[in-house]
Amino acid sequence: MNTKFIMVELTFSEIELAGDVKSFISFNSNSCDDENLKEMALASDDDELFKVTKKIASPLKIINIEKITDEMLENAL
Amino acid sequence: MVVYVSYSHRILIDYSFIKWISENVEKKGTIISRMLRINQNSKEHKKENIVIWEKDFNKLCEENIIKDKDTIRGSVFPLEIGEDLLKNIIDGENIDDSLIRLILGVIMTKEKPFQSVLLTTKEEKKKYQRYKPFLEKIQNFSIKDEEESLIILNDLYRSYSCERDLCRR
Repeated sequence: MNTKFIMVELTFSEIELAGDVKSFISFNSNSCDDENLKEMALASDDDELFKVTKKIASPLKIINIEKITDEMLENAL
Repeated sequence: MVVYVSYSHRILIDYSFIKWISENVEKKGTIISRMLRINQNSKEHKKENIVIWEKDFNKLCEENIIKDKDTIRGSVFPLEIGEDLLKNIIDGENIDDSLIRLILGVIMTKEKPFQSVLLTTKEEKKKYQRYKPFLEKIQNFSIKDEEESLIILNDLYRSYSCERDLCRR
């Protein structure tokens, strides 16, 4: 019998202020492997809102940062 | 620089109010965005200035009224009150969801800013009025229906935008 194991990476997302994300990235140098994401976050205004996705198994690891858009808000409900 | 604001009220939102926004408000995005702002920039209750009973939140998700859990969780924080424990303390099975929300709202008055408001609909407000004798004793807790609720949310948002403008000067 062949058994296949599928790895599923469980994630969660939270809304954060850019200022908080910038501090988080600055204090945890390995928190984000994607240099483009890091650059985008660090160049943002502190008051901007982001949807930040992290791994449940390692919540210090940021895997995605999205800017909150009007469309995102309009479709949330 | 991030601006943090001490708001005049903490807000509890119920199932019916979120349903009303989803069905009746033309610019839902604007309200959701303002609620996000109020929550994220709250000095005393960061991310939790506007809350919803977790049972209401889960029901809204199950019924697909809430389509993006993560974004709405940022706008209204789901709070667990321990329904079973409450039913054990207060006369068992007769406790209904309206009373649990009222208790949650009253608990919220015990912390800064010591004022809380329950945002609901006209129809649901009638159900809360059954507990009028209880509510009359609580001076710093009130219940607002649709239009009044939007005024409260806009007022809190205005507090944020005034503070932000002051900081930018």
